[in-house]
Amino acid sequence: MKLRWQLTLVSLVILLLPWMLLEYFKVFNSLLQENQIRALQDTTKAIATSLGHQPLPDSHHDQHSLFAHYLPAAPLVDGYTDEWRSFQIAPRQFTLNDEFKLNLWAGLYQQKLWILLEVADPQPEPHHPGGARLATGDHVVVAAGHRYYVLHTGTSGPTLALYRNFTGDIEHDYRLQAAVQHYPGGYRLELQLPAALASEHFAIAAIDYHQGSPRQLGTLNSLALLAGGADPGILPPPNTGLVSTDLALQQYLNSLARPGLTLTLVDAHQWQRARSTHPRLPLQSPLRRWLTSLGQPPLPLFAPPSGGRYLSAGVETALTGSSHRQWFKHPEGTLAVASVPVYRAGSTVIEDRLAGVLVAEQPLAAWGPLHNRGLNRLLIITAVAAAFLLLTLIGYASWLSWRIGRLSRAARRARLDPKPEALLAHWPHSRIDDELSELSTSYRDLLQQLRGYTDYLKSLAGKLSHELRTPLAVVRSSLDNLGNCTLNEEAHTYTRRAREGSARLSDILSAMTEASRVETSIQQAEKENIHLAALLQDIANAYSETYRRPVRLLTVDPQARHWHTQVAPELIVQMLDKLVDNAHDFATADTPIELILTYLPHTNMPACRLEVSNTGPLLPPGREDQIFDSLTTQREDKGQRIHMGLGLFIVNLIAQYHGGTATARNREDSSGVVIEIHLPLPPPAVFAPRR
Amino acid sequence: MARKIAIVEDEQAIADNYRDALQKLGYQVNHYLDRPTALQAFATSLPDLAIIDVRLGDDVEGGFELCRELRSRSPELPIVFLTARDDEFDVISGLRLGADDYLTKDIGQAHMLARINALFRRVEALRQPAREEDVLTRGPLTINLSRMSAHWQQAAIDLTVTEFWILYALARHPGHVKNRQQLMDAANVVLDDNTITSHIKRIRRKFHAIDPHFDRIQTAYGMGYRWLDQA
Repeated sequence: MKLRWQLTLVSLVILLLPWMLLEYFKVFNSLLQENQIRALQDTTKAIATSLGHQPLPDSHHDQHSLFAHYLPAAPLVDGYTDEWRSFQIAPRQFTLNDEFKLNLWAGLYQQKLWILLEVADPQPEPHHPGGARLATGDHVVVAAGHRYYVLHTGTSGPTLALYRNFTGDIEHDYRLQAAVQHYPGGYRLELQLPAALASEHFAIAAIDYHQGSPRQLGTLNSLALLAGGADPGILPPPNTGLVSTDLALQQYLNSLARPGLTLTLVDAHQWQRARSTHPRLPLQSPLRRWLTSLGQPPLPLFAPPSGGRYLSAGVETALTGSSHRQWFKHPEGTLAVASVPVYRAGSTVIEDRLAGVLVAEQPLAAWGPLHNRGLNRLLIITAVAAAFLLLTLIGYASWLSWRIGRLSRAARRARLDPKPEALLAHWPHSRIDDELSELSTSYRDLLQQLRGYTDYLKSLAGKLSHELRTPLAVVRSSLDNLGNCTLNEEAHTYTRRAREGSARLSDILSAMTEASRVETSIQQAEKENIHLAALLQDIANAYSETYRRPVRLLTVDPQARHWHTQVAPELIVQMLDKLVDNAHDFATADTPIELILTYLPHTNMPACRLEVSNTGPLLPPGREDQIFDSLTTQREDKGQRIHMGLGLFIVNLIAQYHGGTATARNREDSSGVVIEIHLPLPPPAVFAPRR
Repeated sequence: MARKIAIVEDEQAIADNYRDALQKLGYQVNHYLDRPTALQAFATSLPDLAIIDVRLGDDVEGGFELCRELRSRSPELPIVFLTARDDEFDVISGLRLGADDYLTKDIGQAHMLARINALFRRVEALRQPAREEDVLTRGPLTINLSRMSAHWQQAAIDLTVTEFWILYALARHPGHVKNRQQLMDAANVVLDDNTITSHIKRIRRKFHAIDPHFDRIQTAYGMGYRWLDQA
């Protein structure tokens, strides 16, 4: 893996920053929320205490009472629900089963009580007059004041409120106005009566005749079934009544509530007796809602008061005398709700002291001062900083890896370059004095040292040959002189051997200085215009005779014979001498050596490829490049001939003199080795077709 | 009177060996170990031939200096460099100073003696009128075998003994390819291929100095060289 990617991976660690920020945020958030709800509870307690000094409503109505909302306008008594729907008042619902359901609305407007009943009854049963019964079909019973009224609902249209007087006679009470409207699956009854009539006792029930027997739904107890029957005598009034908002208290609460804070007074039976006007909750952005919900346990959904009742665990707890606070989820944000018991100030009756519960609702304002824009800015700054940090690290890593890469490339070039002095003079260096620049310097010093050693080795060969030549001359001239003396047979033998030995020594000395002599002759080389293919053909023929094995020239392009090119022919011949000599040494006996000349016209500068291919042992893996180095030999045979490991080095020198390259590879079928010379052919005299 | 040969050589053993061999052939040999003693001796009388080592003890280029000195005093005196150094650069330096030949120390005695004889023959020939039978003519090329001189288009070409023998071997049979071994044998040298190439190059250059269009010595790649009678 490249250094850059490694560092990129490592730099992912900075992603811990946003995580840490988030964790910090969570803790801070919890702390702020806890503070807010505690403050809310304290405020609520203070308000509850002050509320104790206000005249508080009695709470003698139990849960079966009916809550009447204050209506903004008077509905028409016609049995239609249009006005009620526009009032947005939730009905009180009663259900017996799927076939018999009751929705009950109650409202007060200018000292009058309006009631709307919506009865789901798919099989309406009309009233059949005659008989002692007040009602023989579906009807509604209303208990108001001390009377039980019966209203027939069998047919659409206005209906009368019937009741039995003290003597049991049936009478109409015109203070009650009602209208019935049937619809598929049921009917509606709309009723209006003076509020004073219902002030003390009030209950209502819908009676449905089902398969001959009546059943009831509503706030009235089982006496409802008797009211429509034969004269039951005097029935006791119901102990339920009408509950409604205490306007004075509502006004008081409104004066205490402030934007965002909603106060509700709930009585002992959890009837909502006063509620400050519900101010709109400031809308929270989804991002902020998500942020504030971080680290919080899942919240219960807030259930708003409905049908005049405020039913919640908080209120129930407060009714036992202890305060309660809780967070709720609300469609528009998070809501803090505190419930505190309200005690009547100065009450001496213990049972009567608890007047109800004050409930305060407040949307989450923990991050109030921090506006959405501010929060977004903080997030953007964090993201930009993280991105900047990441980019900086990646950039830094790239820079480091570029420096290392440059150094490694320079080192590789210096190793391959036979004259790396210029390269070493322009060695990559940095103005920054760090470990990398130290490494670079050390590397250059190392290469220079290595170059020095190689140069010394090369010059050593030359020096050694010079030094050895003098004693060798002593030996040879002595032997020559000895040859002129009269010697016996035995002495002749030894002289001959000594002479052979000195001849071999002389060969060794020549081989040792060959590279430097070639370098000199390269400096003096002159390029000529020649037929490369013809030259190759001539020497291939000559090699065939010299080495007594076929040396074939294969020209891939038949046109090659007609091309002229500019090279130093002496050097080319010398290079081929070395190549063919090398191939001959390694080639399996009696196999041909092939010279393959390919013209490469498609490159920018015309070039040719000359391959010298022989069957035989393969190159040692991984050392393909090194075989062209000076003083390197792959030979393991101990032949008679001298090998200083200079042959292919000379080949490389000559190829480079011509601006070309020398490479070695194994044959594709692994049957031998190919040494490939790539020679660019300079334009002017290049391959001018000869006519 | 025996011919006098001066050997200026800092290596006593080599000098002794050469002296013994030359004395056996009837030459009078004087050996000098360094430049001052040699110069001192040459001040009174010049030898007939001088064999000089390039490096004389600590005097790295003492031989060259000596050669220059001798040549200034006698343009005819045959001078042969004998050295352990075989750098192309040294060869050229030595020959520029007017040496007649430049030999490495590993040359066989027989080859060296052949040169010495040839050089003496040349000195002899120069003192006598030119003889027709010694002259070989190949177009514009004239070679005088006994005087070991060559002329191209009437202009003298200054060749060393080795070069002369190579040129003669080539020009003797025009068109025939002489391989390197044959040329070495003809020149009485044991050299490697590169040195023959250098010699040929030098010969060509010397012709080019007179005739820039000279191209009679042709390379037969992989085989050797040949003299072309027709351009």
